[in-house]
Amino acid sequence: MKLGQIKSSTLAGAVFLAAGLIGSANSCAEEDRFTFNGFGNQDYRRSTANSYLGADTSGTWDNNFLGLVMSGKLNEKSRVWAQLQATTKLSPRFTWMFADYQVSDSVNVHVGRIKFPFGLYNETISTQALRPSIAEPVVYAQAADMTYDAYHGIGLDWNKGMGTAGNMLVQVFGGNIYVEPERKETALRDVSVMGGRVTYNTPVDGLRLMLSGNRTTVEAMNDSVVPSGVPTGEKASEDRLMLSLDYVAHDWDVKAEYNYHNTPALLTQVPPQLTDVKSRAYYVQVAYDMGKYTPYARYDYVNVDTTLSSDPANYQKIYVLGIGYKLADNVNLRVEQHFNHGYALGAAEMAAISLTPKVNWNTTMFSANFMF
Amino acid sequence: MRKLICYVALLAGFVVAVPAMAGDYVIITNKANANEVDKSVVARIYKGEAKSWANGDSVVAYDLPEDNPARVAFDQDVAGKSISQMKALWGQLVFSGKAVPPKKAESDDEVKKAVASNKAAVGYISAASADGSVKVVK
Repeated sequence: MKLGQIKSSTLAGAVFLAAGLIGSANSCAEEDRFTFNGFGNQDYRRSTANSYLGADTSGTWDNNFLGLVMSGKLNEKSRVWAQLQATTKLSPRFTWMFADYQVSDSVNVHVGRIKFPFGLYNETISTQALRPSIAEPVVYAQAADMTYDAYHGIGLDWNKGMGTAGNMLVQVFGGNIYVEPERKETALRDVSVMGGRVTYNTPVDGLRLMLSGNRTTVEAMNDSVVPSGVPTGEKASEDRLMLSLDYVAHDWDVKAEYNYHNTPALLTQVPPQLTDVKSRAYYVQVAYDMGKYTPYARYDYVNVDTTLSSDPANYQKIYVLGIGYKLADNVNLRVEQHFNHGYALGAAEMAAISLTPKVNWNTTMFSANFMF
Repeated sequence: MRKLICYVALLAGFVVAVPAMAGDYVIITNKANANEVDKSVVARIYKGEAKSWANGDSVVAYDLPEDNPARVAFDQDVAGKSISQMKALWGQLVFSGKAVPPKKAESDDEVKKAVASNKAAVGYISAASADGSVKVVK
C-alpha cells in the first residue's frame, strides 16, 4: 500500500492517537489515577529478491504502528489497562484491554483480552522502540506461527522474592485465543488455550531466564481443507514451548531464545498430511548501548518442518546487522541489513515468492520510532 | 561475504568504551516508614518487581530527571542498568500493562518534600541534599 492509500478509519485512529500524544504532553495525571503512554514506528523495507512483509525490490512504507496505552486506577488494588492501535493495514482497535486486581504484594489477577506471556517479546512485540532491532526475531514473526498475540480469559501472576537467590515470577493463564477479524480462518477454530511462563531473575545483575509454554485446542470447521478422513468438529492440540535467556546490564543487551512448535496433522492444511509437523526457531542477539548509538547483531534461524530441514522453502537463516541512533530522548532512528539464506517465512506467508525464488537474498530496512 | 565483513568492521568501530558519569546518591524513605528497607528491596521496587511495602501499603516511588548524576548512579548501582536500559525495562512493564512507573520529580528538594509527606514514599537524592526531614536508608 502506498502512503496515499491510507484508509479513512485508520486516519481517524491516527488523529485520535495524535490527540492522545498532544494531550499527554500536558497530562498531569492526578497522582497516578490515569496514565497515558504512546509509541509508534514508521519503517521502510526493501528486498533484493523474494517478497516478505510487503518488501520487494521496489520497497514499501507499509510497516507502521501507532499505539496508545491507557490505564485507570479503580482503587488501591485495581486498575484497568488498554492499548489502542492504528496501522495502515488494519482498522483501529484495542490490541488488549483488561482489569488487574492486586490480591497481595506478590499476586495479581487479570481478566479480559490479555497478551500472551510468552518469551521475552510477545507482550510488547508492537513496541518497536523497546527492542534494539527493526524486525522482530523470526521466533515472533507471524509467518513462523510460533506465537499467538492475545487471549480472552484470566491470568495470574505470582512474584516471589528469594532474597539473595533472586526473584521468581510465575504466570499462568487460560481462555480462548483472540484472533483479529482479518486473520480468522474459515477452516479452523481455536477453542481454548492454557499455558504459563516462569521467569527467574537470577542474582547475577541483569540476567534472567525464562520458560514459556502453551497448549491450544483447535477444531476443524471445514473438512474440505483438512486431511482426508478428518471430520468437521475433530479437535487437536497444538503445543508451543520457548526457552529464553536475557542479559541486560553494563550497557550490554544479550538475548537468546529457542522455540519448539508441534502442529498436529489435523492442522497441516497445505498440503494435507497425516503426520504431525514439528518446527523450531532460535536466535542470538547482541546490542551495545553507547548512548547516542546502539549497534546490534543477530543470528536468526527458523525451520518450519524439521523433516525437511535441507529444503530452503522450509528454513531461513538470517544474519542481521544494524545500528540505532538516538535522535532525541524518546526518538530513535535505525538502519538494518538482513542477509537471508532460504525463504521459509516468505513461503509460509504466501507472499509473492517468484517462480524461481532466490535462496540468498538481502533485505534493507530503515525505521523511525518513538515512545513517551 | 566481503560486504558482511565490512559491516562487522563498521559496527566494531562503534564499540568503544564510554566513560560512566559518576554521582553520589542516598536512598530516602519517610521517617515513619517502619518497614525493613535495604538496597535489594529498593531495587525490586525500581525494577517493577514489588508494588507494596511489607506492611501492605502501596509504594510511591520517585525518579529524578535522566540527566541528573544521582539518577545515573542510582540506576547503575541499584538496578545494575543504564538509563536507557531502565527506560526499556519500564517501557516493557507499561506497554504490557504490568506496572505504572515511578513518579517524576524535578529536583532533590521535590523528592525530599514528597517523601517527607508520604509514609509510603521512597526516593533517592544526591548525598549532599540529605537532611533530617527524611530517613536515609543504610
